Amino acid sequence: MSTAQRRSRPGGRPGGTTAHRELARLAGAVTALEWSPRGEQLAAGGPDGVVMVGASGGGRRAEPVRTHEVGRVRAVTWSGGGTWLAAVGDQEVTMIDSGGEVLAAMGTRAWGPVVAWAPDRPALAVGSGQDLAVVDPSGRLVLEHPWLGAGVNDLVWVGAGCLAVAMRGGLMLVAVGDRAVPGSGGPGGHTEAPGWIDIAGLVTTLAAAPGGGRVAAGNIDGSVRVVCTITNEAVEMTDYDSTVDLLAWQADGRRLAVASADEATVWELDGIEVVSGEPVLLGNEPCQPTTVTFHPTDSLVAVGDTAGSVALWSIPSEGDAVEVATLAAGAEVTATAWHPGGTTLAVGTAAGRVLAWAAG
Amino acid sequence: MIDPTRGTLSRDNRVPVTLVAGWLGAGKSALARRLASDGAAWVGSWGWEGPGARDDTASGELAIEEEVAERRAGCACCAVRWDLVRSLPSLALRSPAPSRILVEVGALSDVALAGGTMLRERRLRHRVRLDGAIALVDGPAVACRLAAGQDPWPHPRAWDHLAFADSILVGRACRLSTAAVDEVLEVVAQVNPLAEVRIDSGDGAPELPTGGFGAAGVAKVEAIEVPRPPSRAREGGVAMVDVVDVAGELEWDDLVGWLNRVHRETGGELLRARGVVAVRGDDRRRLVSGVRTMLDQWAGRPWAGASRGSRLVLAGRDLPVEVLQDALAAVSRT
Repeated sequence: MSTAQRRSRPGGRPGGTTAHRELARLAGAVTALEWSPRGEQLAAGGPDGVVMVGASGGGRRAEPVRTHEVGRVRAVTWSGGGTWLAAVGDQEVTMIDSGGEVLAAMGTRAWGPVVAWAPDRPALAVGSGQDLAVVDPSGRLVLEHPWLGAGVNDLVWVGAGCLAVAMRGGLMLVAVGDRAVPGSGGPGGHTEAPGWIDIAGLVTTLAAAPGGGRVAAGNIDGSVRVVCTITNEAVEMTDYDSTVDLLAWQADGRRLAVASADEATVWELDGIEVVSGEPVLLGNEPCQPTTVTFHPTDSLVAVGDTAGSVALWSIPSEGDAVEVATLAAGAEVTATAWHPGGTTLAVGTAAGRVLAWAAG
Repeated sequence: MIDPTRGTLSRDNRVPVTLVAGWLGAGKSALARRLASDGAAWVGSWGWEGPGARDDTASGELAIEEEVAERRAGCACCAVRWDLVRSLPSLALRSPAPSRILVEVGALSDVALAGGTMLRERRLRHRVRLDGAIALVDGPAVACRLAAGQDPWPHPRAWDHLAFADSILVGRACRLSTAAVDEVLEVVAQVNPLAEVRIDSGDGAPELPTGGFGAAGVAKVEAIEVPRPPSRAREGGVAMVDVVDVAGELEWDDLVGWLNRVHRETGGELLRARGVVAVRGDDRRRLVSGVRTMLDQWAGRPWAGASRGSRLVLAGRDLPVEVLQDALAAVSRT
């Protein structure tokens, strides 16, 4: 495994503040935002459930808001085709179809479940405490992995049928098959013997690279690794002063945005090789990033922070990042999501506002 | 490794956190329930006490399994409570925002680890601030052990919880005679003579210690009337909580080096340090407060014409205070 160390680099010039529009207002902090894959709807998680905002014109025109009161929501995620939405609560996962009907609600044994839709089938992986299961949109258990022995901190699909699970001490790779295997714990599938990649410390968060085969893993020890899930080779980027807990890939998989509590950076990668040996630092002033989100098609990255601003950074192929625009959101930024068309950035705040920013 | 960080927030709207510690059956959960009704959120601990504590979720509180994560392999003082790192930020963002978050520290759990997590983990520091620590004592249980000629504290963790606390609440004292209450108070004071000790009447929610880890609380250290003789928790002359006074000024690096030695080389265990320091070249008092080797610092009142000196209150286990005082005096310049 190769290792690269980050170092400070001057940031870009400050940009101007641009106009925005309020799409919805929740009763408390917006905890999650995600556009449906074709961009017709924006799902916003909050204290009372999920608020769905119909959108057109690239997300710039909002339609009447529908609210699904499913309790406090910590995360929302659409299935690949946009047919189903999973709303994740403190100890519950609720399945909602695109028409707004609640299909199922599943309780979890431990607090703070994490979920991920399979890219190739209507199946949702659910990790909770030391449990790992895959369910279908109706909530039916497809398979249940045997006791894991450590808590699941995050999970992502890294290609068809392969699930990466973030745990203490490493990354578990679970191959999820289609065949029903007696005694596998579920009626419709099976898991094969898991692979394991040792990573010292505790893996806090994962991001699967577009195209599959690689996964970025943030760590509590202030490092991030990009692991090839085929060869198990990895590159480690170190020296963040605090836990790395925010990761986002550029759409072409060549750049990875990495943020800890005090800074946001972008690494350029070729496979599992760091191209420049050091990252681009987004800003030379201390900031406390709360979100990082790459534009769906361009080399733009949006960074929200505790001070209530969203900075839009352009990452050139060489040289420093340039801050091209800034949005004053009025309160701590708690969630951001690019419209799939790339013309609108949805911004959620701790004050409950959901804003549409024509920032593309 | 000392990692000093400045307390800089002028408009601090972070949610205050109070640690609620105590031995088995001391009434931690009952206290948290009483306080939670006043708008406080509560993080219950399964810790080592087993899954019986799961029932806590029935009353709407968050019960989460304790999980310790080392940030550096083998470095206990770099460890954090991962369960708190995960859960406290989302608790702080709830609507309406909790007036306070109570973190229950299990009987066998490391109270300094829970407190240090809130200083060390910066993502947590953005949303919450460590405000105080209260330890609960089951009065009848301690009295029974004393009457039987037993050690009143069944495990070193029980000392730790008392030594770490800003205030100590003796519960169920109504079941004891006045003489027995006095005996319990005496053994409590032997461990932590500087904590505010109260008898829990059981009526309403007791007052919580506030500001003990912040500048205002630390500034009070200067006015502490030092108990003499200092506390002796065990035969062998080692202190749980004691005061180190030195005249003159200190180089900041000398103070940091000294604290590192307290933690690493004395054979004891430093849980908490706070105090007022005369730093060379600084016209103002330097207020410091920390858990293990993590320190916050603030600028205090100007020295003006006052004679300069430093006072540190140390809480820990098996700390050779006289040796430490001599070591600090050796690097102090008058």
